Amino acid sequence: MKDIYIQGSNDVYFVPTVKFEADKGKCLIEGESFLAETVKFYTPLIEWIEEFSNQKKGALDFTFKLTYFNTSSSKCILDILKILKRYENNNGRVSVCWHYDEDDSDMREALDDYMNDTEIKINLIPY
Amino acid sequence: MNLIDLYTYYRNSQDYSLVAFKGPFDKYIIAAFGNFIFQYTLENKKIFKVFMELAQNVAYYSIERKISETQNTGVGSLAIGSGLEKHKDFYVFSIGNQIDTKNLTILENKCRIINNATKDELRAFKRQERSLLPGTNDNAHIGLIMSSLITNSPIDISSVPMNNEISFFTINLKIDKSKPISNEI
Repeated sequence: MKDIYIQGSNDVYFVPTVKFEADKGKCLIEGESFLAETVKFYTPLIEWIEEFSNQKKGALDFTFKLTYFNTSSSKCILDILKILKRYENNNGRVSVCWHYDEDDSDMREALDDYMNDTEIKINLIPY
Repeated sequence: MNLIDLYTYYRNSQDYSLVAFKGPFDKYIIAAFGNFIFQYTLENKKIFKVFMELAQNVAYYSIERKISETQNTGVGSLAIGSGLEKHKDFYVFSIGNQIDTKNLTILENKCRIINNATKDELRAFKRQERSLLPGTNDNAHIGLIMSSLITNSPIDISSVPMNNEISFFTINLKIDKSKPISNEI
């Protein structure tokens, strides 16, 4: 499996930094997410996770450090979390953590909603 | 030659010291204002989040369009006030665009439902609307729901008929400047 690396930017649109490492089983999405074509951006990431869970079948350590995501991005993140939960239900070893600003109550609420919607445990790491 | 009375515009915009803008809400404007608002209001990300939600609504749904070879973008107006004595506790945020008057009742009803909902109900609405999203940018209603959730206050709307078919629709919000309390959930 190939790794994925996307350097984030906020020149036009807000593109998150993405670092998916197959051999290490580590995934990171960091920054802000407001994109021209949200589905087009997230689809390869979702496909990578599905391929990892179907073929590699190793432990997956997923870290989010997103400080902002717009509504269409939030749907794609929900889809990622659903796939991770499905992998976990199929005996995959999955760890999800999310670093968030402890003053950002909106983000905290969003994370609670994600956990309720997907039933996946997100380790909340305030800073 | 004085094609526009810019002083009158300047004077009328005095209350909106952060941003006063009329034009296309294209990707460059949204990114530029988004970055500016993000940096200028670091202590409170609410105004940035509300801007991002509602600016996208103008871009997608304003019936006044700015069309070029590469873009088809909604035109609207934005005004954000801060810094004045009367704004010392909150930002004032207004955003508006042209709509088809036939859609006004739908928008008014949607805002009435949002304003009458409890916070838990709003969160449930958000999750319900999000689950229906095809992942496209079709999120006008969820943008309104998010704005009410983020500001924790009612959405104040107004409209002015421009002719028999078109109205100018405005959303007004007050955004508390106080630092959010981390355990308010």
